[in-house]
Amino acid sequence: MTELAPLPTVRSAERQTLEEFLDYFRSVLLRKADGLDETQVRQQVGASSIDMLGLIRHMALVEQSWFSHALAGGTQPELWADSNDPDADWHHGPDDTLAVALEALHVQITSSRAVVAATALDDVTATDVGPPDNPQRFGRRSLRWVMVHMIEEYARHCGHADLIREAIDGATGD
Amino acid sequence: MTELAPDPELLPAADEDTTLHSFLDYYRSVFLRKAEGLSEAQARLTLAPSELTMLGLVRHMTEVERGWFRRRFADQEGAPLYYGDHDTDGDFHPAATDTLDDALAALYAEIEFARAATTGVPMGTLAAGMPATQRIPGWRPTLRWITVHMIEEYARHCGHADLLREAADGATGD
Repeated sequence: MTELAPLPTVRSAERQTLEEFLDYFRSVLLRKADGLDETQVRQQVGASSIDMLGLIRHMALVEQSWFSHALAGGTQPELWADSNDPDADWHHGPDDTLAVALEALHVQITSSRAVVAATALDDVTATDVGPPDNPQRFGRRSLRWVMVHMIEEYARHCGHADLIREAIDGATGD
Repeated sequence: MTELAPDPELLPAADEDTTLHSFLDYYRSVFLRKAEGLSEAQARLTLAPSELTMLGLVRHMTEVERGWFRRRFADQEGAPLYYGDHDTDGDFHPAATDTLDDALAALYAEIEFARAATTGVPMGTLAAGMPATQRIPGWRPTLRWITVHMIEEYARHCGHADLLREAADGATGD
């Protein structure tokens, strides 16, 4: 069982505030996957194709992409890569397991924390990111930007996970 | 129809104030766009067993804006609009005669108040007032904490809205 991270402290400086909010939502998403079996992690809600296994794989890739690759300049092979499918993180096969996805996410979170500790909030990514055909959006982004983006990215996917998990077994909340 | 606020991607390496305000305004606009254009029936659609509806979410975000910015940060009068002793979750429980238009108008008004109360205010500024019901003595957050909290609050509810809107009419994305 994943422990819920402490609630973010209310009068901290910028860096600590961002780190605590990000760690909080990492723990919320991990808890949404706790205890699910391989059938449950493939359950969908309404008209959406999102499922918990896809969410965990997606967030592992997002962590790798922003922290290990963009900010740290690493060249590790991209998780779940499939040259025929740019959304391979969402498109798992019948043999893909939650345990493997969770292990990948835990590894990436540990790497991300090390990158954050070694980077100033105003430092920018090692490479340009974004759509290469859109000069307004293609460029280097600061650690500050990446941290706030990751908080809302996790939170939005926790919203998806809320409804999926409630449909699976009725569990709600953080 | 609410215009999508400028994407924070256009401000990839800004200071703290600019970054936090731009992410919050972006998510406010994403959330409003998820609700706008729905019929009264669509605004009441649920994805069982969850009782969340778009109408309930709009009313909830009005209370959240009002509670954090009007009552706590600005220390102004502003009793809850939808909940109280009769129903502590009344924001999530609209009556048959309540309309989405009225709920949206109330949310626009609270957002306008919040913007006016926070523009140009340093992020380290402490909330001026705390409710009498506050359980933790001395608990008083900074504008920084409130703003990051509001970003993830909107983002998480946008996750709920993503699935509700896709089920209502197939619309996805921001």
